Amino acid sequence: MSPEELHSLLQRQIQQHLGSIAIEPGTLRAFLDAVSATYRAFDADLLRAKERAERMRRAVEAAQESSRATRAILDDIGHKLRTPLNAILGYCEMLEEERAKALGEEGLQDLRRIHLAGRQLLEGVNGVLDRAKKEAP
Amino acid sequence: MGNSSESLRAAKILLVEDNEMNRDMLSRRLKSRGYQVVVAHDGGTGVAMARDEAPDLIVMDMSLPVMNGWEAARVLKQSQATREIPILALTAHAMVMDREKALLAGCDDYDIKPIEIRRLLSKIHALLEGKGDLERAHRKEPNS
Repeated sequence: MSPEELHSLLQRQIQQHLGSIAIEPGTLRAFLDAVSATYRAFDADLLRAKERAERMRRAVEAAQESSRATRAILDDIGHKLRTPLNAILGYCEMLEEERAKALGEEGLQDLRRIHLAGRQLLEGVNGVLDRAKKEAP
Repeated sequence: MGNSSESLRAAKILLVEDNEMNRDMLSRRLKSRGYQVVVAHDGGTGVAMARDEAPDLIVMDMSLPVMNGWEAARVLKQSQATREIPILALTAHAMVMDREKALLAGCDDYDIKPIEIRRLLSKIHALLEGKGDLERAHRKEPNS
């Protein structure tokens, strides 16, 4: 319905209900324009609010995705470091258990040093990765 | 391990581990303690071998190719032929969620990598002995 049609419809309604109260067409037009402008402004505000909410939702999703990716990378680093460490420590223990005589006292001592260094490396890896995970966003 | 373990020594363990060195190392250490060891390199082969070999126990890494350990555990526990075989899950240190996931997938117990052989052997022994309660007992231990 055009503003003109709305104007004459309202004019007729008012006259029907209230008798012959004369309403200046200009006053009514100004009123309708104001109502229409208010609605348009309201629509624009609503649209802006919706866009803001959507932008925030996307930002939260991106942050969550980035956090997931960081954790996945830390898990992967952990796995890649611990797998060979598991082998290093395991073979050291196996040699100590099964080949102690053949290694001799000096060889055994060296082997224990390798084992100790491996354990220290493992503790270092665990400590650094645990801290990184705690501090990851 | 005491004398009571003698009867368990011929037990057959299926070791499912994709890393060649860890597989070699752990299978040799288990063999040196008298266990029969059969190995699989991935989850899919692990499931097939559990059916074919009917092992007494499965020791399975959780991060495996083809089919991961959690999925393999679910398949094994859903199958009539394999559901009674205890599964000991190996998960990486610090990944608490992985351990919880392993129990949810039906694993009977878990241990962390890098392995600590005496702790692992005591868990293997307990699961082979008849077991059940052990997983709950271990969960209460602060260091396990």
